[in-house]
Amino acid sequence: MTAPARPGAFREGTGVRNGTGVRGRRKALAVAGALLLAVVTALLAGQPSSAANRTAAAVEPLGVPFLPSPYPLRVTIDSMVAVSLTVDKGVTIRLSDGTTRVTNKYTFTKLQIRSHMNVTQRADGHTLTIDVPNEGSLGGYDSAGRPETTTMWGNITNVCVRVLLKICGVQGLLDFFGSLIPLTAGAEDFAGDIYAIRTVDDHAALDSTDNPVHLPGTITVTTP
Amino acid sequence: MNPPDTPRRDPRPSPRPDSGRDPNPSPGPDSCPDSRPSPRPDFPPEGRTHWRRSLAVAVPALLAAGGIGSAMATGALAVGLQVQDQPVDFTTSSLYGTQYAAAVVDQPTVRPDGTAGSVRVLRMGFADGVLNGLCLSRRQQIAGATYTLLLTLGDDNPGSWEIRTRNTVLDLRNATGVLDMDGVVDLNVNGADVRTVKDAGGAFVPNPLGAPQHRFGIQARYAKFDRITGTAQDFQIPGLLTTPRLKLSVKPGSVPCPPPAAPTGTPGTP
Repeated sequence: MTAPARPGAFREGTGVRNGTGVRGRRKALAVAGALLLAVVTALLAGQPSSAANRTAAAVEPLGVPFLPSPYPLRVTIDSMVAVSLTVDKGVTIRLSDGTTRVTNKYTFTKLQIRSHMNVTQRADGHTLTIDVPNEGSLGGYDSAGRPETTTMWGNITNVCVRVLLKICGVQGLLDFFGSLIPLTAGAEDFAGDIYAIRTVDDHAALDSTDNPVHLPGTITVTTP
Repeated sequence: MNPPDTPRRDPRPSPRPDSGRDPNPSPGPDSCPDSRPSPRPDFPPEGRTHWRRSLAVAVPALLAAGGIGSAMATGALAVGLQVQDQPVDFTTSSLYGTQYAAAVVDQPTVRPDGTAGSVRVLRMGFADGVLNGLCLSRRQQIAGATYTLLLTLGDDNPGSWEIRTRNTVLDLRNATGVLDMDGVVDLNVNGADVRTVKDAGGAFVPNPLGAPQHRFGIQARYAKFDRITGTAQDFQIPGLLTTPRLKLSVKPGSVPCPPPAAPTGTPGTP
């Protein structure tokens, strides 16, 4: 007795598939196509989308080595001293929300706090405060003896210098001169809206004690 | 329900086949030589202590327990400290670490009425750090009376950073002391962009502090906080309870941690 042909099997003696075999081939093609589509989809899923690329490109740091928070720091220093100050005007910086600001870049060398520094950030929902009541530092000498640098991006809204007399509101003069300004005589009543601060010690070490940032004080986060 | 073609089995326990067993067993070392033979020599009488089996179970268990204790003692097995839900006061002589970062984050809390809320805190993270003593103080109302749970760790030597930690996270409401940072120090970094703690493979965890976008952040290569007195909303210090001289006490009334001593020397390589 001849066994019935299995679906998809060659007809004996003809070498031609029957109708069920054609359907099986189509099914196999459909399965292979679906698998191929799944593989392609999986490969593409691992790639960042063009929208993501646009977003990432939009928040690349600009003007500052990192992306600062869009809420500036209100920095006040009652008395300070620095070896020098350099002002770069009209610097465009990008904030973490993607917006840009045209502001100034202030580079201090060996910035020391003689008395009372307060850093306050008022953001949506909280206030962060760093308060140093007495002496402190935002830059000193590194272990090689070179003065460390402190860079601020923002606007100084007030600063006073003492040349025989205390002269205030000279921030415009600082911005005007723009080049190297000695502050070895010190400055007082410093106030500024600062988006970012970076201090650099090129010779930092684990056991280093001459840290550029030395803030004896209090850090507080308060929620209204 | 059994399939119709499955034979129904007797639910009573059936004797196991005596495969490979000596049909005439010799008396074991724990059997009495003149005892009468059991009516069923293949199955020992109930109530007998199976010393070999007991030892087979007990020895590995004892070894495992000893190993765990040894690992804890040597710090190989981390036992972490986690304090959550309520603020806790703390002091430390010094906290020093590398790959320091901080960011303002929202810490979930439960209000007294049971509803969920949140507070904003400054979350600090150290990839690798050392502590020079630590004291935690938490007040608790019990039956109308105030008690203080005091936990202290470390020795009394201000020159030794005896507590080593990794991937430490603290949520601070406030802290007073001396904050030193070194290397490249960035202030007001977008909190979600900081890099500090690492995953098991040693790679930096993206947004390790869980900060929402556009929050204040700090990034520094090294950080050292001396004579810190503060209030933390949350502590997560893996491996902390393996430290020497762990003391836990409950004292009546409101008892603060003693003022932290000034550290001496430098912590060296953590």
